[in-house]
Amino acid sequence: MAQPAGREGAGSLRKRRRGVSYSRYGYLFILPFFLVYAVFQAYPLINTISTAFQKYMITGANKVIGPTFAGLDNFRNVLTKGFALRAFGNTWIMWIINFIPQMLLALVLAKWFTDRRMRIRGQGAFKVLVYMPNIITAASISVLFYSLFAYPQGPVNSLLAALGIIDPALYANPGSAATVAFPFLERGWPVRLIIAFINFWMWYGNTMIVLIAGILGISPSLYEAAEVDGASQRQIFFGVTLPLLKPIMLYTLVTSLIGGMQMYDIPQLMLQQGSPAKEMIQTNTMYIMELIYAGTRDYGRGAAVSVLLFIATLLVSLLFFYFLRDKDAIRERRALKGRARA
Amino acid sequence: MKKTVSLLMALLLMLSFGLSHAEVYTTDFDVPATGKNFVIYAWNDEFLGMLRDYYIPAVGGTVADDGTLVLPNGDKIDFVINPNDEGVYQQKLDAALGAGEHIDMFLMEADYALKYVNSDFTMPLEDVGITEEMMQSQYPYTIDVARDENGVIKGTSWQAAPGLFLYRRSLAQKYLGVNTPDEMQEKVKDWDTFLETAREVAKASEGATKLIPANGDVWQVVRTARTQPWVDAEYNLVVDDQVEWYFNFAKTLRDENLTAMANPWSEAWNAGVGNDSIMGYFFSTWGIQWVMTGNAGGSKPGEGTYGDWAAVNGPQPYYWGGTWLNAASTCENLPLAKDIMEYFTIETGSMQDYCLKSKDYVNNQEAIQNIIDAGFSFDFLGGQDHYALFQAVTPLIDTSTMSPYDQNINIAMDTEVNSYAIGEKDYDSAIADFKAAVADLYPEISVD
Repeated sequence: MAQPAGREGAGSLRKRRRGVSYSRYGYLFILPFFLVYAVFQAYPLINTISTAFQKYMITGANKVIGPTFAGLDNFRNVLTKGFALRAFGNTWIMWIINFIPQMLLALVLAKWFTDRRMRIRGQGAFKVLVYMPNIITAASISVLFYSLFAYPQGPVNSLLAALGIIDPALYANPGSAATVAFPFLERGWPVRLIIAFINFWMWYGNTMIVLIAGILGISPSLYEAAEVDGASQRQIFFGVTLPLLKPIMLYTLVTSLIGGMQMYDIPQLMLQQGSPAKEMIQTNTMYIMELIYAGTRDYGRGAAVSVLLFIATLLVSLLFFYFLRDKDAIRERRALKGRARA
Repeated sequence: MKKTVSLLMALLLMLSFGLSHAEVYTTDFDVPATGKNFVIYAWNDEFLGMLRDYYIPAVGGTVADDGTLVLPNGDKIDFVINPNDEGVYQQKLDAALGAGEHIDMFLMEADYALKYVNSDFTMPLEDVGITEEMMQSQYPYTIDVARDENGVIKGTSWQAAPGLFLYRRSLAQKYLGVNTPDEMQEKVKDWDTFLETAREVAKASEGATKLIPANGDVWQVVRTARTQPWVDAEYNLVVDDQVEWYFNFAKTLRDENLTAMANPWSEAWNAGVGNDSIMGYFFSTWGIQWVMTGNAGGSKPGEGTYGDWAAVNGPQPYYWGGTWLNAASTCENLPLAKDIMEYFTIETGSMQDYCLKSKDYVNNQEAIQNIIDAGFSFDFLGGQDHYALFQAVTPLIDTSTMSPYDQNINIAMDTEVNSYAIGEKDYDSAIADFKAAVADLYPEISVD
């Protein structure tokens, strides 16, 4: 559109003012985060990955060896002669035993708390009680359980004696208590179950709260439509609630997996010095700590196990993403793309 | 009336003055102030207690309300305590030393003393002001432990740690029919007899009393009978014959329920000193005053088990532990380090005073001889002069089988012994797992 000659200068000024961008201030505001991230997260991450490929250790006699490039030696060592596979197996088993009951219980509780027909009273109080174990630090709970299962004489063993499961007369005497009491902390499976229980008890409240939020996010109109169609409660739960909960369940699954794979404080505090159970409860991070701090401080191998842990967690998460993907949405998107091309 | 009261007060004051002089050993303190805290790393508060109860009163320092030790020149002593479980003390110490943190002194145990002595983190004692000549009253083995590869002395100890077997007189009388320590020694004179006695005790008491707390106590004794250290000069792991013997002995003890399963340093182990569940303990010198007198349930004969104990040589002579003091290379107050070391490890007067009051066994042959000559008898042991027994054992101490890797290797072995003892593994796989664990801990050691 032609402008009157006199107003040409004004028009171009207006154009220039419209071109002033304030976006650089936005970049300045987010810069601190990226700086901190780069220094405290990105650099150590890259450093660890590069250390994993180097031979770098401080020996028991305080001599520094390395850092020199060592290719895949560290990885080969921890996987064949070292205990990385064993640690991974232990962590995985303890996480599964903890997670499946946790998810089931959280689902059941979430269903009850959001059920419009049941209308449970005092929900606030229940939610507080259920969430409380999460607030207590894992370390305190572990120390408590460690004392509870003491051997030869301890609270749980005393309970067994009181119930008559073990001979109370022999148990009462500290000299002979060892012959009847259970050495819980010496056997692998009891300790594993205790650790899994502590994790389960601490986290089921959190999972439940997240699932409740997920269920509340489902539009009630879907429930009404299902009820109008004559669906039973079971059919509604499995046909409407669960499929729509998939994104939230995926979130819980992945965050629990990441936390579980890095389990450290609970198993470390349940480890009694000299206990034969060590082989069955040493987790990934416990093994990394042992490599880096105990005996010869081997940073190369510690970094190698860390990298392996990262890869394993990544792969399993991707697997979860794949299995819990929204198949309908993917089909729609493919159909759209197909139509657009055609 | 007023005159008599004031006379009495004056007399009392004079008496207390005189008495306090006799009670507290005092010494001069002429260390200049530096204005900085003196940092000491330890794994328990034993040394803190020693400084607080002996050194500070001796030099005229004070203890602040929060427990901080304050020297007469105003400097404070700062303790950093990291317990020894799972080797945490070494880990924290290594991290601090590696980072160049300011540490003035740190304590080391026999199990890993060599590691620090052979490193640059410890300062030669000559640089601190203590020459080998000054240490001539010490027991030679304590000096040799702290010598590095070139023979330079890096640490000094206030105690010698020969070991004995301590047992409850009344329980021994009841279940074994022994009345004197010599008769008891006959019952524990070697390991086979010892095992038989353990069986006898368990049977006679119907399981209520066991001869020893756990198999871990046996290892402390047996490990010193090895002829080879864990790691030889070519960095090979050496599994001495005693190790195989110990594995089997531990299994026998476990299978036949001959111990109270009270692992060393556990609550049950501590409590066993004061109740009737455990007849005997293997302890070296520091064990008696550090563990037993505190747990006996009394402080005079007749209270708890105090006075009911006696000491014998046991199946074999041994030593257990010992603590060495050294000045870190980052020490900023050498005169104070020298003064503290002199008080506890060199001067006969202060060491004798400490020895008599604490019942520890100080590293000063002259002081020990003085104490024995003065007719020492220990009421905790029913009037026995156990120092004479210790003195006889000390020359037999052979520390040539120490290695810098001892603590962690012993911990790794402990796991395997317990696995084997409860029947989870057979001997060959237990040893194979032990070797794998050591190889993982110390890649520079070759295990085969």
